Amino acid sequence: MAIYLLLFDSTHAALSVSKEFDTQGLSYYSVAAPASLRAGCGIALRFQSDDPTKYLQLAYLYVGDAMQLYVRSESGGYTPLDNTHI
Amino acid sequence: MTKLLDGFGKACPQPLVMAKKELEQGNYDIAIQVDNEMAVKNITRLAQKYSLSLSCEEIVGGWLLTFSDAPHDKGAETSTLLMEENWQVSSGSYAVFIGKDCVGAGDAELGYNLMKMAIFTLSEGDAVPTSLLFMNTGVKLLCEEGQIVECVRVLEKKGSEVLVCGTCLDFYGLKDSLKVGEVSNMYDILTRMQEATKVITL
Repeated sequence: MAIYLLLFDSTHAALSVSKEFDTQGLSYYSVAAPASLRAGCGIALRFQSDDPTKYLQLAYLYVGDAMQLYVRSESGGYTPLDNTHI
Repeated sequence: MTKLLDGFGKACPQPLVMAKKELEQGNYDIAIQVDNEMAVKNITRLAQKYSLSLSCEEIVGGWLLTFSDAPHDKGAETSTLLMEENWQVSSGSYAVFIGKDCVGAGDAELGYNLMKMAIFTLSEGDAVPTSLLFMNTGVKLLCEEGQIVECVRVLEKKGSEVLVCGTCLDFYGLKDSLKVGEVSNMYDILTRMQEATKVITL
């Protein structure tokens, strides 16, 4: 399963999405956004999934485009993904 | 002759303090009777710290804990301990004190999320704290399965000692809900702070 990281433009966006993930019983970790990635908010949500669509769709409902999805590479770095497959 | 200390009816951590006082004076030939399991655990840890063997016998109303009359192989262990202590200092041993269920003051939800992030970040690193010390509402963090409990388990596996205030668990009615860590007391928690090169308060 791939590891994804969701970054947000604002802390309020991050908190509302994390709350919704909790409500829906989706598994994730609240982590500090890596310093190498630019984001408006230092809170990132990390999750492991075969298909991130469910996470993304839910997040999109709450914050729209105010987020950025990354996938973790084997080297440990993160590569941005576009959100078009939501 | 073995000196008998009476810890019956004494609140935590008094029995521990009584035993430690004797050991500090070089009196290893002691026994102490206690009436609660927490005191048994605390005194067992004390014996380990002094490299003393300890026997535990169930008696009417509690337990009788008897120390050996001298630390076993004291000379050999002292030099090892000194080396270990020096190494820990040079590598920057540190304790993390968590006295609340959130980081900082202000919005509780933000503070709780910051706490999750902080403990996750600690668990990901190589330089883990020598001890994590939980008091007051901080103990609530360890009473529900989830990210924080998972990360604290990782820290334990990496070598961190996790001490949780028993008085606080008792106050919040959480004594049976603790998922990770060892029930401890003010005496041990303050000792870990004193022993650490630095203490980080979250």
